[in-house]
Amino acid sequence: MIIDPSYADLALTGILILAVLYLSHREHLEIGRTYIHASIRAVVQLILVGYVIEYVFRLDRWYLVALLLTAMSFVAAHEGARRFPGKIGYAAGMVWVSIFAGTFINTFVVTEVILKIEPWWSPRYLLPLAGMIMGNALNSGSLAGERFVSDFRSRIAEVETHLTLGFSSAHAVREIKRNAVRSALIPTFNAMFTVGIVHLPGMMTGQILSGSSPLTATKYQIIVMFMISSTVALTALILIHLLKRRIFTAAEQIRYDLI
Amino acid sequence: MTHSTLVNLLNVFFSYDGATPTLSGLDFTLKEGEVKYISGHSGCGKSTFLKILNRLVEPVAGDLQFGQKPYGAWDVKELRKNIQLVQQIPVLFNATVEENLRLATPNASPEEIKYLLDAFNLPPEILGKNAKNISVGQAQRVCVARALLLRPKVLLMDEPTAALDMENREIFQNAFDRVRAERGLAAVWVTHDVERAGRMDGGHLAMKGGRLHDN
Repeated sequence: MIIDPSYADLALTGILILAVLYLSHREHLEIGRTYIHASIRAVVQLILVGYVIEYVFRLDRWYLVALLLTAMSFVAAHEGARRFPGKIGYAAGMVWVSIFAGTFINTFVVTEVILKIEPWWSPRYLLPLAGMIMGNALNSGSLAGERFVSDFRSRIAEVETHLTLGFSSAHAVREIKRNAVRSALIPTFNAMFTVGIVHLPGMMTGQILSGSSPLTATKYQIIVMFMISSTVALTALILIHLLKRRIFTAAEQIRYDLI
Repeated sequence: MTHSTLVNLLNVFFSYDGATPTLSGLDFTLKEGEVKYISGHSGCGKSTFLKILNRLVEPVAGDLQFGQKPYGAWDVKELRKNIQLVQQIPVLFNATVEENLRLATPNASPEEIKYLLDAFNLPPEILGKNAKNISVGQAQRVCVARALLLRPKVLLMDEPTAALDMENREIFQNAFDRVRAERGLAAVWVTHDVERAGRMDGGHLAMKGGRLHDN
């Protein structure tokens, strides 16, 4: 039997928050305000999304699923662009394109090629999978984009030197691009090295808690793992490609006004 | 002996912020094998002028020609290889000096590398050293040698001797004169040292009010 926690049960998790707040106060950590703010936001967002998904499940219409995913992608792009440094311009647009492309391709492969869900928009599968992919795409875009731009700024003399020697802009930023993609992928690789041994991922834990067999949960987790790593790499590459195109003119010149 | 015009700039305008002009109506001509020294106070646009010649930055307006062809008609990478720019702060990568020298010319012959090391008074054993561990003066000369390995028609140098002491300045000047004479190289040498520029063998122009004036 699955235990469905009541809202009163949820309120009891407040004990954990209070403990941290007490420690924050005693140890002068000054994280209390942020912690309360983050906790309230998380609870409100999760409850709202729970209702929204429940509603979408009930109505069971493809366009509602598409609408929800599109809205999520806009929020993700906004969030990703907000963490973006500099005056690049069109940051939200570039982040959106990379998140959308990374999410769309991977979601398509997983839901249509591997799981072959019926109907193709079945919200029970599409929403959690696409949501998870999008979350990872967002993190990847933020990490890779931030790293690319900040490295570009600090190594601009090296980029210029390559250009003056007659190299293409693609060659001039090769190392900066490599470091940016790696920095986006390293958390995923680390997670893959320790998965199952040091930690059980949230999705697998969730499935087991809600009654699935651990073996089914494992299979899903493997799919999810590869789906995430591929999304992270793809999103980072697309975003850096767009950034590079924006930072350089057609004549392989740096747009100093944007950096 | 007549030398044909190599670089021709006409009525060039440039501004970093779109409001205050760095260069306004600048004209400039450089013939084959010719060297021009350019002086002017700091921030007057000398470095910008070199970057425009190398097409690292684009002027707001003006006609630019290299070898009778407009800049835009050249593949920019070819143009830059022909008009080499050595910037004021030498940039070498975390690798040996030899790898740095061969960065853009992996097939450079050992003889040519030796010739340039000799000319610029760099000891042969420097080739195996990490480029991060050599002096600024040496790094500056390595950068010039790296540019020369591309066999450019024009060499642009931004204060190449600023980090050198008197003795090394003489060495650098002699090396430059020798290589230039042997290769028929044209050059633009930017310096803040007006007096020195005046003493040099070659044309001396002063940058003032965004233009170049004969001195």
